[in-house]
Amino acid sequence: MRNKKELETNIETSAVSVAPEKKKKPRLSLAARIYTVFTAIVVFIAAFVSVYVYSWFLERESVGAYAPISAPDSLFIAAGHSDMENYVFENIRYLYFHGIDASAPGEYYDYLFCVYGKGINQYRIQLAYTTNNQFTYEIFYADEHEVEPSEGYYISYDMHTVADTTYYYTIRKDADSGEDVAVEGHFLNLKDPADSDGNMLAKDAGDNDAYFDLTYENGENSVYANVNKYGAPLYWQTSQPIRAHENASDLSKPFSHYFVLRIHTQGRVNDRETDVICISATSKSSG
Amino acid sequence: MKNFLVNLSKKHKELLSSLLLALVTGIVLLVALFGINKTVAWFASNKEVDADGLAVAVKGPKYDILIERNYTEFDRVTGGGNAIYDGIPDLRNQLTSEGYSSVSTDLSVNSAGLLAYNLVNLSKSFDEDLYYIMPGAYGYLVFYVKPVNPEEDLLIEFEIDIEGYYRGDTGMRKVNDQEVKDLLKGHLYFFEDRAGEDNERENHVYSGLLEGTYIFDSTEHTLITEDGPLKGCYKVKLYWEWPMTYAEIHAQLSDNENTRKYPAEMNTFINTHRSYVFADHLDSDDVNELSDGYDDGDQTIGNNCEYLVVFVTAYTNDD
Repeated sequence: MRNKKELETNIETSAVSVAPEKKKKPRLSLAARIYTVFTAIVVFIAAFVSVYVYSWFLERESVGAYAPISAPDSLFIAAGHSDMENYVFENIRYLYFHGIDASAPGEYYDYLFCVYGKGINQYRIQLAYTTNNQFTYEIFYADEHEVEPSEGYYISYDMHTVADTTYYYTIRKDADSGEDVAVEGHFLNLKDPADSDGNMLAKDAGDNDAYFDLTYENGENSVYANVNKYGAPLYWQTSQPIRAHENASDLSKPFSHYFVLRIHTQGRVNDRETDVICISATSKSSG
Repeated sequence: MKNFLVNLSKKHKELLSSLLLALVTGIVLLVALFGINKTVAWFASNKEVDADGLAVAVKGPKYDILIERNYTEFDRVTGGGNAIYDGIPDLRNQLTSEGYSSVSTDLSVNSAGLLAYNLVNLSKSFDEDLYYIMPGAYGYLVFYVKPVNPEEDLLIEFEIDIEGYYRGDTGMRKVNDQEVKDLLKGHLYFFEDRAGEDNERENHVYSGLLEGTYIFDSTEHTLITEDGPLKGCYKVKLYWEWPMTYAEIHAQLSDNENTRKYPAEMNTFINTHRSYVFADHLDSDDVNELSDGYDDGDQTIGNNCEYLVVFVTAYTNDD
């Protein structure tokens, strides 16, 4: 109470001494004025802080460059002439075997297939086939020609995806011997010796061949007891990987390699069974 | 005012003093928290668009970063308005939500000032004239550094981060799998320099391998003096390549005697970061097996990432 009275006295005294003639204007109380000034300063600081923080996060300056990725499809098998750059592909379903007389021994039939791709270093060709009719197979490197060769052996391929176009394929020959160059390979699971009838037969492909064990083995001494043993697939693979390109600098370019699959007949026919062959190419370097 | 202060009662003087003390303490605390030693572009506006499709990424106290939007391959749409590169609009939206605007003129929606644009890819994918990124692809990344004071030397450390994105069940997601993130670093290489014309891939020779960091030294660059929006800028052009196969890398690594496509330091990088380069066969010495490992790495990247974004970020050196 004493302070308040003192305050009022002081104010009145000041007012009187400074401007005795003027009317006293209404003024905010001192406390209110102090708080007003304080608030103004706080607002000022708040503005400073908010702008400061806003800029603080922008000390990081960054650009982001975006692009879509495509997983490369790099290795394919086709039935005939294929050209990736011009989007020409002959689907493998055009490779079909017809007119093979399995009963005539010593005959052979040639079929063309193509391995094409891009962005791989090398590949191996694998064959898997049943042995009901005892066909044997060879693969030769083939060279493509657009014009019918005037001499020598060749096979022709009529395109299905391009009208009125035929390509011709000759088997590559060794420069020195003149012999056809076969792609070297080896069997994974050929039973040696042949079975009691002298027929080529597949055996299990090693200790981990669960498929063979489950399908063809029936107890310790009863291999092939109940299931057609010639239905067991024989696996063959090229011994050396085939390089996609000779030069490392060409690796970014697509390639198309042509091969002739030669099917030999042995004259051993099973009238009740057909044979199945699978051709595959793999880019893994190790079998 | 002077009378006011002089004639304050003791109680009010105490009140004022304590308020001022609180204020000063508050300022000190704020300063301690945010670091007053950071120079702040307090009044600078962050947004500016120049003519010719240039956009200022951020205006900083010492330099600005500008990009050009002259390459827009991945933003292409068909006549009906569909994206030719499926999902790119979703990717742009995702980048926008991360603060990177990909709109060149309407900067009012972008308060952060960070910008996204197309990575330049010079290699056509084999199918349908498209330019997907894949093993064997190569291109470059360009941005401009504009010093506020051209007389002053600049030394900026840029961090290069490669992130993969894919479309998950709930939308565009960033790849979090560490193996995939590492493989991206070991398959997509950035270089400071490349000799040889863009379309003569067989003549390309790379130098200056960047392992996630690019140091920009303005004394090694020349300011652009031609009139135009780029005047007063330094141009930065970084080259990138995703080597097709490891056999290709191995056959074309430089050594002490021969300069080949890839610099010798790349061999060092590969040997010290084998898990970045090969998905398996890490301990092998056989080039064929390592090539399989590299191909598996490519496949892992392709299986997990549908898009990639290269972020180049400068952390301001405020000394």
